[in-house]
Amino acid sequence: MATNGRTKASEAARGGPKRPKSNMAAASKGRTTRRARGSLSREEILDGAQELVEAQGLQQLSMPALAKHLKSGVTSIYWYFRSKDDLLEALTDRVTKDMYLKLPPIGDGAWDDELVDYFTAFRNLLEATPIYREVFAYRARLLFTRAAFAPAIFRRLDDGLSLFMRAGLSAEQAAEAFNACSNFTRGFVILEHGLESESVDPAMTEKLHHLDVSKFPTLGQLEDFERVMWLDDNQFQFGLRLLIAGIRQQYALH
Amino acid sequence: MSREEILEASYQLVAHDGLSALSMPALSRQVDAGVTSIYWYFRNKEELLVALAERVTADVYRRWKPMEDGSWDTELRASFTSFRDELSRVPVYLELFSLRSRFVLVQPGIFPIVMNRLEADIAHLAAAGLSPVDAAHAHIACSAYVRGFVTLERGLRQEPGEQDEAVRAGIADTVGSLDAATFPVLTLLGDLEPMTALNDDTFRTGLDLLIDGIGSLVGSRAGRS
Repeated sequence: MATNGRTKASEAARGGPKRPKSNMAAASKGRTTRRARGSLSREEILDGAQELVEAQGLQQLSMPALAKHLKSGVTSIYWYFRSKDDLLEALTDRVTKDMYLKLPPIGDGAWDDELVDYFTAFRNLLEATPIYREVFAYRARLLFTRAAFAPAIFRRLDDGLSLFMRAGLSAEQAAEAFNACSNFTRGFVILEHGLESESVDPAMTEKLHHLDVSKFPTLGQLEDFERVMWLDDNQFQFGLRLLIAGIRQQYALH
Repeated sequence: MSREEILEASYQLVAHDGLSALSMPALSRQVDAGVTSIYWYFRNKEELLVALAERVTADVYRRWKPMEDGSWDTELRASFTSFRDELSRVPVYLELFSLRSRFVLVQPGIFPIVMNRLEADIAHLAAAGLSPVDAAHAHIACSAYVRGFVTLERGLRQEPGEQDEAVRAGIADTVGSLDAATFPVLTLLGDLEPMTALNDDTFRTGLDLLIDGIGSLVGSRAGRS
């Protein structure tokens, strides 16, 4: 693709193609689909890592896989990142800063409505952007360790906690209630994502729509069992409202 | 090579590397046998998946405590606490029901086991005063919470630095150095641990909140009638 022309162009810019490098022969044998050494920037590597994670998940991210994806040598990646953990940290920093900037600020409404908005916005963002989901689902701790680099995260967390304080909870209660809502939300998004990835033949699930009321007296009353059991927006809101009602009950709020 | 050995090997494979790693060639490497000896028992991967799902479903449902005759909230709490234990013990069940839920559920060897339990539990909630639809949504909310929580816990265990005390100390240091006027609640807490920890206590907090929330539905309905 463009790499070929670009390699030549950059060689020309350096003053001629005949650089006496020992790996030149090997590189030209490799039909020059490889990038020229040093042509990768830190940002390009992070872009590549993000693409790879979005396509295949965090588990699949490795330095060799990334090098392959970038059509570059592993060494050019190690030039910027000493290890995979290093790379992951940089990726996490970038993703979290990015993400928290996209979350809408909290309004002055009633605490419970604002709470629903807060976690709904969080869920929507995790749903829409695979890299956020991967990081929040599987690298949450790392994310907070690195939070020093993103004051926006602390801003967001403090605002979230303040909502619970607005309801009348102590700081400790606010933290545990926040944790419960956050775990519910993050877990929900991961499950939803897993369910959506299943390709289903409609004939196969036919028997899940309407259940025989003589065998299932309660579930048989549901208009569409499969719809009701499905993890969707409606179910998410229902769960969040349960948590809020629970908070009211548990901490004797009115 | 017995059918049982092949099933056990596929269980191990999925437990360690996830469902996406399961293929007939990978399995044959795992059991150190030719692909043909696997095909002798299972005509294709789907057949193998069904057998695996039947095995883990039976295993989980044998030990997962059903709701019994006590009060609905006590029973619900006990049942979902036991569900978490089972999901942690049998990660393959969680994996199959997360990624292939409908395929697994409609299998004749699985459908009655799962559905009879669900019917009984949701009927229990309906008997407490919820409409069938609310009872179903309430049950799913708890179930999604537990499945999500265990999934998060599993992810955390694979996270580098999780076991590292220095990492935690680093977080506490960072929070400790925040400006109190700008971050009033975080500085009051002094640490992110209470709002991020995944453990028995935080699991219990979330489940209790959900159950109290369901209780308020029961209450309001009773109050209206």
